Amino acid sequence: MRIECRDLAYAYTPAQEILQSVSLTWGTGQIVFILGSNGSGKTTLLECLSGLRPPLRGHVALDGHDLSDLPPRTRAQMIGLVPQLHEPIFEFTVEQAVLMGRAPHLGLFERPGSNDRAAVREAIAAVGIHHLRHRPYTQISGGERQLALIARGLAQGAGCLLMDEPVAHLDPHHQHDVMASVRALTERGLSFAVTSHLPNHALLYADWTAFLIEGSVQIQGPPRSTITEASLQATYRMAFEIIEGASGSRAILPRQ
Amino acid sequence: MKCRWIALGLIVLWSVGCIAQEATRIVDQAGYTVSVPSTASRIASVYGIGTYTVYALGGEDRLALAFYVGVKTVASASDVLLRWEPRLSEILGFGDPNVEELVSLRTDLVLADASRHLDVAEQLRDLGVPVVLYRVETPEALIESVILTGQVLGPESATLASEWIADYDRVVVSISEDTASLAEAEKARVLFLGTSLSTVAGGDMYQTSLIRAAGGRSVTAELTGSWNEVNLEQILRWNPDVIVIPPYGPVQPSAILENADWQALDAVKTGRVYRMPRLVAPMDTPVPESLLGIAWLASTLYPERVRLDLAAEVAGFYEKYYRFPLTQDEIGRIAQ
Amino acid sequence: MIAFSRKPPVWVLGLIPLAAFAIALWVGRFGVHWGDTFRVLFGLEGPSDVFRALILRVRLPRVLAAACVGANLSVVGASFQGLFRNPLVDSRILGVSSGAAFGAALALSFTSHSLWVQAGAYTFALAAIGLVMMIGMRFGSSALVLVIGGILIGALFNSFLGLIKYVADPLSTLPTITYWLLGGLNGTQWSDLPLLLTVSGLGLNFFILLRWRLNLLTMSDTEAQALGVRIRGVRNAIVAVGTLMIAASVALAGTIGWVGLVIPHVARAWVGPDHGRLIPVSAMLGATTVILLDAVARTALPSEIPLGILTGLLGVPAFLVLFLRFLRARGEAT
Repeated sequence: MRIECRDLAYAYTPAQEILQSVSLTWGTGQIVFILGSNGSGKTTLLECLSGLRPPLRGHVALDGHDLSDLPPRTRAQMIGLVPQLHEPIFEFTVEQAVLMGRAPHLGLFERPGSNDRAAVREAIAAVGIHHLRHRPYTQISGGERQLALIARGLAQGAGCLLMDEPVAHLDPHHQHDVMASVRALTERGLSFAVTSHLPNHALLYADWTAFLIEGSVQIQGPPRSTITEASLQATYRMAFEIIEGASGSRAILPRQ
Repeated sequence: MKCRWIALGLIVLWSVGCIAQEATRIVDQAGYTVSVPSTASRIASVYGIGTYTVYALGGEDRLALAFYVGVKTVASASDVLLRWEPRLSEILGFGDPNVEELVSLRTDLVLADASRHLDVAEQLRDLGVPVVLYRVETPEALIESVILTGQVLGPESATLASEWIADYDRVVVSISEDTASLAEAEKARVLFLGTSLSTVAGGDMYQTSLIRAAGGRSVTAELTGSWNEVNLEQILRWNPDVIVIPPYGPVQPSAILENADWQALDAVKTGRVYRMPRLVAPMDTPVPESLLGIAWLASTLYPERVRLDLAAEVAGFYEKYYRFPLTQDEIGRIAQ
Repeated sequence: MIAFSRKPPVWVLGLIPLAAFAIALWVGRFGVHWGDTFRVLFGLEGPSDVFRALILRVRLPRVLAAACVGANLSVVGASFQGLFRNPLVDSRILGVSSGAAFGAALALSFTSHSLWVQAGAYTFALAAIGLVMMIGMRFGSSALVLVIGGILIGALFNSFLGLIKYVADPLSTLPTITYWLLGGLNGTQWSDLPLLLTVSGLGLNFFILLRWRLNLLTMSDTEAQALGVRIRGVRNAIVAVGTLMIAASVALAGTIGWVGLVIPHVARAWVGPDHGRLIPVSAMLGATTVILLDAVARTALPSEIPLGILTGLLGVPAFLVLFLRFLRARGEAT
């Protein structure tokens, strides 16, 4: 799916526009990383892109359809949101939690049928957590829960998933598991937008990187050309150095 | 010389003080020893049931504040009550007694209820106002409370108290003689209802003693405590011969006699559902007037057996104890 | 087999309230006459007119009412726990019960006619929820705002209720109000049932139909909206229907505590949090519990035991057991 965001602005209070003018476009099978300091508006941007917050100005288009023209169910069939991890209250099983992704395909009083269950099985298998499907969603690890949420987005049938800091609180192994699943899913034509505080991850997994600074995307492009010491300095207001390994891989370190 | 005059003056003042503070020491029904000033002229009765005893013993002119059973406002008072107590609007009180108001009324004696007013009594004693507490739920306690009130009000009232006790005995003995030949199983089985169709008088209440004194058997004698909530099944199981509705509350005999669910009861089949009449005091409560309640119930249960002339008893009681002549119409409300 | 024992088909659970219903029709203060009750129910000759009238006019409407009240309180409790994402919530959270109790007490201080009492309960239950919704609309209608609004409005109506009790006649109306507030079904008549049955029937159907969608509301608002749920509309509909069901119960039975809190937990411990099963199972367990407790309330002693006292006596230990189970599962107790 191709997502086009043009001159997007949003404000919680009229006095302060948290997003002033965001323009960002990415296409089928692409992963875009949105980097920005705390409070720069990354989560707000994802919520605007998912259609939860009607923009103050500007447009978001999904494959050319204006997001604001779409009814909620149609919108939810096209684009999914994976929020930051939180502790669930009720002990739904992984399968039941993923099944909730079928909501946009069901009427108000409708209950999921066999084709919905088939879609759920397929989504769970796609992220490799088949063995967890009967486990309570409250009793699996954070990484596993993140995979379950991705499976829910798959079950939803969305062409694009918006993920809010998917690897926060995860150890390096689980960080890699989650991002590897994301990367693998792009093969099926899924697009992703991922907010992150880890510019190294952008170097590793992103097709496109956008730096959100003072309410607008001031720098964007392929990671290798946009992640520079200058752009990092502008985003985080501190000095970094980028080191390059023998195989051509790069890593970012704070400058001591 | 001057010193002698001062000394004499002090002696005179002391003796006057002694006379003014002459007091009767009594023990009330909560077990407190109370020093009651014999000249108490501003009495507050915050115990509705006790108020009627003050009237029966001739102390009504000394009331500065009085609660009456079920009388909230002057507007809700019956015509008889208004004629019986012309000062009603002046002295009527209702609800929880207020200590500050009692003191500001310059009351010199408070009559209160031991089951509800212990805290108020404590505060009043601290403020120097004597309090007499009543605890009346049996005939014995009623007689005790009448004697106590007689002591509190003075010698003339004490005489009236003993006369009332004699009258009470006379009525009870007369009825027990009239019903003596009845075997226990022949006695009327009476259900005493409360203020709704599902409320009945518990066995510990005065109403149970009243039924026994009238020669009946209370079907609810096995229940403990005060008013009890029961269901229709239980009432059907008791299947009383007679149903009595108290003289207060919204229930009328028609509500039972015309209720399809109650038709299976013997009392309904024979039409023996009565609301107790009321002139001044509710005759089912432990008040002096309850001797008329006993006489009314006995005459209602056994019209062919009881020899008492109910009309004469009613007229005589009101004349003697309330110094209040009833009209024929008013007498007829109790003695039909 | 294990999966079966944990999740028996819903129709099997339907037998439980049916059995409770039969038992409740058989027992009572008037006596237990198995054969006679059977003959009355199937219109056969034999039992006396008194017994026939007793079963058909006294026990039957009361047991039906108990079933409706139990199902309503439990289903609304389960739905509200999910809706407000708080397992300690019950149907009283939005101040509806307080409003209904005030309305009923107000009516009771003028009349003892049950239709007026019901009218009072409905009117002030709707007034209470109307005020809560007004607070909600002013401050953004989130679950938190609704809960705080509910607590405030509930407290307000509790004060009004106190005022009514304060001015009530201690000899006649006050005991009636006090007893009524303890909760109970004594004196239920057929004439009370059409309204209760209609509201309960429609309300329970609404929640049964909506039951799977309730799962989505246990997620955050953001997640539910991202899944295409029109959250405000659905939430307002649930609150409105729940309010009517609570009003119908309170109007007839007074405020009965604990059922709406504990039954959903028992049901959840049994069939899990999926509302697809939780809602029907809560309805059945709730109906069963109130039918049986009411049978005890009207049969155990010559005088009625207030139903609210029995639900508390059973509910508190049940809740403690469930809570201990929960702590053990988290390794915080042994």
